[in-house]
Amino acid sequence: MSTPVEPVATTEPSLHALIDAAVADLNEIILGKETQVRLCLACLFAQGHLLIEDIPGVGKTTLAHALARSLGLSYQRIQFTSDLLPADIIGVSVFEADSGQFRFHRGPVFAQLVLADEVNRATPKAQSALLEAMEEHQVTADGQTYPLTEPFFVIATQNPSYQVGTYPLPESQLDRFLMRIELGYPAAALERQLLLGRDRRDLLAELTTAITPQQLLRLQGAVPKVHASDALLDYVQAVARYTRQAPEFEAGLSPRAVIALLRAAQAWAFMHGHDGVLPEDVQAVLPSVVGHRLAARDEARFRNASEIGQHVLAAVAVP
Amino acid sequence: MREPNAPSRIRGLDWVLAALAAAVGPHVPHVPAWVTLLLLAVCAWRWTADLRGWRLAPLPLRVVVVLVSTVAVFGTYRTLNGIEAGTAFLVLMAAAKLLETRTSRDLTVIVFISWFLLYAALLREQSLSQLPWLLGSAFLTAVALMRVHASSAQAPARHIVRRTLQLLLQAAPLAALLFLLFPRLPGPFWGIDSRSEARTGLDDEMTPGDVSDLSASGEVAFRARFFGVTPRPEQRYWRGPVLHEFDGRSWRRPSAQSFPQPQVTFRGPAIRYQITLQPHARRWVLALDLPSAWSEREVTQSFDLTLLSARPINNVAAFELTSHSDYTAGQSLAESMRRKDLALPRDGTNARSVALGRNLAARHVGNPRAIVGEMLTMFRQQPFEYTMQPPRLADNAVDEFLFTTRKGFCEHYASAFTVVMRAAGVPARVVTGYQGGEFNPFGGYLIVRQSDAHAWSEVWIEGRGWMRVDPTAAVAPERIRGSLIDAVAEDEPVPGRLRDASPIWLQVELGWDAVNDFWNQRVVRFDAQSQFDLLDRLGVDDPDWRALGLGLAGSLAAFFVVLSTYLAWRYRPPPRDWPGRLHDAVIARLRKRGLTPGPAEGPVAFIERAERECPDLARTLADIRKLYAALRYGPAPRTDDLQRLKHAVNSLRV
Repeated sequence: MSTPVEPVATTEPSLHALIDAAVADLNEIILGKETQVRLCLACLFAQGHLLIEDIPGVGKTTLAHALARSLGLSYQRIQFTSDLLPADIIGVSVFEADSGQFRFHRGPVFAQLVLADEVNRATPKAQSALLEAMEEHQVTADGQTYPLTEPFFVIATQNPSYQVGTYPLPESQLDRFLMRIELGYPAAALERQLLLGRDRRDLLAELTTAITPQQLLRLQGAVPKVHASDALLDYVQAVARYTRQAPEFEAGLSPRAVIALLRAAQAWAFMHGHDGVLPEDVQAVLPSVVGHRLAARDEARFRNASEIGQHVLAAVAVP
Repeated sequence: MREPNAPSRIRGLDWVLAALAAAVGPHVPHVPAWVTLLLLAVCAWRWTADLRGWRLAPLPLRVVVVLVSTVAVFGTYRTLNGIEAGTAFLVLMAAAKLLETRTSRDLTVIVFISWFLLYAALLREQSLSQLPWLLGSAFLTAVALMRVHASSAQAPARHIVRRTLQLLLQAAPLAALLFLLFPRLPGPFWGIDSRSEARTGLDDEMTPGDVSDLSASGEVAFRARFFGVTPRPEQRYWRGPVLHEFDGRSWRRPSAQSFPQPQVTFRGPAIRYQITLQPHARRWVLALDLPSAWSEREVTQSFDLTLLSARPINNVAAFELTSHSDYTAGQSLAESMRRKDLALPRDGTNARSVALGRNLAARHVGNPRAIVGEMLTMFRQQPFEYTMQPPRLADNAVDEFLFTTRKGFCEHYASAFTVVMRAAGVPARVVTGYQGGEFNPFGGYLIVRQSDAHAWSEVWIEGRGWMRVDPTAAVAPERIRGSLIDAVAEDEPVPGRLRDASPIWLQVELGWDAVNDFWNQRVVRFDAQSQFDLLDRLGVDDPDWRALGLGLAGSLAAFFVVLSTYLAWRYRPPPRDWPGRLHDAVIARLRKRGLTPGPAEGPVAFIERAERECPDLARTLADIRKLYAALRYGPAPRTDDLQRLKHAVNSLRV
């Protein structure tokens, strides 16, 4: 890590202000979930995709919609059902009698922020169409490749209960989501505020763009440049080593997962104006990045992925 | 196809089955065939059940199997104790356990049964030739255990084998240490007797044909290592059981009769040697004619001067003996003894031989030496033939041999000679033992094989005592000076003809024997005395059990100290950098304020917490935090940052 990196803070003084403004705006709509909002943004800044696992009605859709508005991104919501076809996601070629040619009608995936609601309800075939788009940032139909609009960000949701008739995402595909978060119930006082306050949909309509897509792209470009020192990488590797040696997991973190952890931590450090990534930045994102990538050997030991993440967090001391 | 709801396959079952089969291997020749077949059948069934997902045996069936096999073993052996019945029982129980093997814990039990079976094989026999199989099986069993407990189902076998080897090699020094220094109990281990096992060797009964049968075996009977000169071939009479009672055909040892112990005076140079007996399941200790002293307190000498061990020799046993070839055995002959050694059956068998004896007595009254001499001359001059394949003899065995067939092996000559001597009034007895031996230049010792088995006579001569007379020497002197091969015709089945013909094969065989001898002497027979000798050689004066215990404890401690030191060095933490050390100093100081970092609390987060909890220090702590973060995690710390951090930490007053 000896290559000198220009301090981000000096060249992009405005970006931090923009981020803070975006967080503030979003907090107005999603009450009391600042950590989740920040994780969500960090995920976006690290060019990853987000998986939200929670019961219906805690504000998953609202969060996604608010995010799209606040960042000025085009937004599409796809409700995944068991009869969803890949064409329903990526689009379909239709024969046009006028021109006598096939014309490709773009599907909902051609938005910048795609909300894949209840992703585990669709068949693996439909799921894989979305996952391919997530990985490649492009879709292929009838032998023709269409690039997606950048920035491209997918938020997928899953209901942790009611697993009957679903196709749970396999571990290899869970890996494609940079982070997995839960929203949870709001605190009582905030819930009261929700009950008394205005309709969230009205608020959404009033939401102004805090960060433009161009600024977002610059921001995404700046994240991998955040300095990660040797001492920090020691910590990241200690985490990886722990998961690989710990008897409680079937397998440890893959190198791709370790890179994901570092990216997310860099995004977090950038958001919080740190010149270099601090161990605390890693710790902030660690449960969300690591939890869904580790399979417990004893399934009864952890209730869900975030408990696994918390377990790893508590088990590895910062060197 | 696997049945639906079939029990899931157990990891490592194939390895465990292989290990069990290998562990049963050494027992196959000793347990009834149905036991082995049953185990193999159950192994095959369990393996197929695993593959196809069959259900395992229900409880009632398992109970029946256990009961039936217990009864069957008891029916076969009339006991469940002892090595024979015990191993058969253990094999059957392993088979029964396989019927209900569901979990890795069950497999672990099978692994331990396999080890116990290997151990039981050592109780039965400790020969070097079975060692490779035992070691291989033990290794396979260890691999199976590793496989059962492997952390990952996909770990390739190659890795597991390598890891097992690594672990066993790591344990080897410890095992060697325990072998050398763990206090050993004298006496047979666990008091297990393998008496029922058939062993080759001399018997306490001799019928014509017995010794020649024995001579067809090339097995080693014992080995002798001389301290000093090795006696010449014709002096190498290894004395075994002495036979007194004759029934017209066979010779026997008298059963539990007590006779006065003769007085023996020894002359000439002493021959000192160590004799290492292969197990022969009898009590006698072969000794060079005639033993004068022995080191073991357990050994006694019988009235006919045979050395007897306190217990049957069922394991390789070594004795340090001294013999004199020049001696006078007995000043006078007790009347009871004289009667015993003159007795002949009174049923009129072998009448011609008896008549021959009476004739000799009549011609040489009061001159037993002349009687002996004339008899030997008869053997020498008349056409007697020395052969391993003599014609079969009927009721009057001695008569037929002496006057009709005239073809015989040493037992025929010894028997006939003794009968004639008794008829002539000369007290005489048959001595069985070995004669000769092959010198092994690789080990510097003498190998005596079953093919060296021999029988000769001892006659009582007034004023001279018991005197050894070997009629075979009169007929076939080559047998005494050389070996059996030299003494009999070329087409007779003497063991070791190949050895005799091929010098290379001879070298190989002697070399292998030397290795075996080393194994017996240094490993199998490594006992308490050897341990004391070892300590003595290491410079411990007058070693005893306490020295042994201390030595063991000390070496174990040294072993673990060395091991721990190595491991501590191998896994030492990386050296702390300066910011890290300064952060440690901050933690140490804040501890006085009752602040300690949580187990996974980040260094920056900890100082932030300290800032909140100690507002008076907040300013210094904030400086420290920023400098620390910049130095340790920042992109480009300034050159004086470290200096400033040191200063800040020093100025932290708690």
